[in-house]
Amino acid sequence: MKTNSILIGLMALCIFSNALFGATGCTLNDPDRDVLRMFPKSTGYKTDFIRLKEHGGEVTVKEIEEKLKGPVDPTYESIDVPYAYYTILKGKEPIGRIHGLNQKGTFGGMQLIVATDLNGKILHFYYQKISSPAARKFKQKDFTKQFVGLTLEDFYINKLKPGSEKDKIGKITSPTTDHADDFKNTLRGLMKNLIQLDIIHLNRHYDTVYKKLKGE
Amino acid sequence: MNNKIVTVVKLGIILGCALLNISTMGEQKLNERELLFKGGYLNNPQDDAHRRFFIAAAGFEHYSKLSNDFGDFLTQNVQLRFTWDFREEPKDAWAIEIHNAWAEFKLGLGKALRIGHFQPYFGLEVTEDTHGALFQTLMMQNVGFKHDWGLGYKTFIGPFDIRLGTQLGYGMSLPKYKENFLVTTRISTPEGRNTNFALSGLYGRVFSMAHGHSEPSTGHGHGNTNMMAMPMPKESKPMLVFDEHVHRTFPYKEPGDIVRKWRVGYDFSHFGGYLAIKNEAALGEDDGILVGAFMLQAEYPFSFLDDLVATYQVKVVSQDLSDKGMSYIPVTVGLSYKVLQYLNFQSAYEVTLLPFASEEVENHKLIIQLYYFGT
Repeated sequence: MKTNSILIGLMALCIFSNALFGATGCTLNDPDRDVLRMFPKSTGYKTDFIRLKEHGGEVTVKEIEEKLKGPVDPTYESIDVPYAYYTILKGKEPIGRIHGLNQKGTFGGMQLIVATDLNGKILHFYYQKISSPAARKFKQKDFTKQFVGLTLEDFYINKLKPGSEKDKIGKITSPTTDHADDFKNTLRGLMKNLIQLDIIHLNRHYDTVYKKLKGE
Repeated sequence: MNNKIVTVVKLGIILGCALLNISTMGEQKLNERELLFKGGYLNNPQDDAHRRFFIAAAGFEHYSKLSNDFGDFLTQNVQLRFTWDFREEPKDAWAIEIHNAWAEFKLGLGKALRIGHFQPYFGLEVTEDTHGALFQTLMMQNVGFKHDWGLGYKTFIGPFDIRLGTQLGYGMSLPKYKENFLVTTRISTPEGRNTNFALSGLYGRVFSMAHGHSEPSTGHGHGNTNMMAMPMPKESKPMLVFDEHVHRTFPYKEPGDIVRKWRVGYDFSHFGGYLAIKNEAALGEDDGILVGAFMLQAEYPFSFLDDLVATYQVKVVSQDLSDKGMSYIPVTVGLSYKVLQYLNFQSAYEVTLLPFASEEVENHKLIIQLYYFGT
């Protein structure tokens, strides 16, 4: 009985110790193969699990909401969700990054994965998971390749100066008219992904453009 | 003497797990807490005392990656659960289950060597995480346990992922050797893609498990039996594939006889649009008796209520293909709902059909589960 009490106590220590806990975020399903596919010259990668609560917490969430012009989802986007950031290496040298996030869609969660260069320019974009009757249309390369070459600046232009000559994203159309909400969800998820990358890895490089577009 | 050794070992494991949470500064890690409440009703003609059941469990998962200048080189995973079965007397009610306890060394992109306690490389279980799910794969029917001690190697060649595993064929969480072994292999299209097809094979001398009282086939940990009203193999020898203490580490349960077995099988999973299909089948022998199993599962999310998913599963299992009376068919329907980011409600209703049984037997199960996995 005494042993059992000790065991239960130690188990409680395991469960409730003050270590860093978090829910599973969006990670690559097959990272080795995915890394080689998107960065054929890579020799390795380093994984970082990063939570917004370690990068400003609620203040950062407010900043993201302001830039997105909308609220973050408490189910998919709480501050303790760990995001996996893969820094792609050639030898010891970083050559790019891969990162993904869960975006709420019409039929459940979508997993949006982007590979970027070290300045945050999109090199690859794909849906690791999408629940939608139009999933096949969304996953077609003719649609996803339209995002290659875009940066967070393009998303800021689309949000703050929609329809302007420089609005590249405004020229991208939904691959389906029946489930166009998931097109909007995709744009939102990609923009949030790039905002987080800017905050976490790029030292808010694109804030200058954002403030300029806002007229500040 | 044995009791003292067991006590020391279990104290060591739990202390180690506790220290793991506070001694891994500088590495990238994820730690998740787990709480599980599972209850239900079985119409069990063989065991009237255990018609209703309720199990509570608490545990954690530790997942971490170590890296150097050249990238990640080591991944570690520990899943441990403490369970309490309210049907039992207090001294028998508790158990500690070790699920995963492995370290994986990266040998280059796509190549890794795993050592520790992990799932055999056979069938759908390799890519499906059933740790917190009511709906299970055929791993229990094919192998008899879901985790084992040993070495595993994975690589990919062209468009194929290849896994090779050599394990103890013991199943329990403490390693033991008595001329037992299990060799598994799985060759598949790239794992993690929305469509995956694989061929698997296994050969070994594997411990069968001792009988426990009946419980649902759906479920995990501290209860994976499916023996209620099931056909018994010839000569009344113990069933080979169902045991409620499969993952139970402490108190220790001695498994049964060694069974020589082989299996070949395929598995297929497809996530297309919003419908997920999972299918696997295997054929082989247990001590010279030809056996087989088939499973088909479909998952459908509803659009009118976010995160509500309906699941339908049918299994066809034969413990002796030369005897029709040795077959049974569990048919299960269920609903799961993601209440919060970390909280999931699951339910399942199972009817086991015995189309060739000599007498008519009713066999129903209703299970509900509340599962928390997160901070």
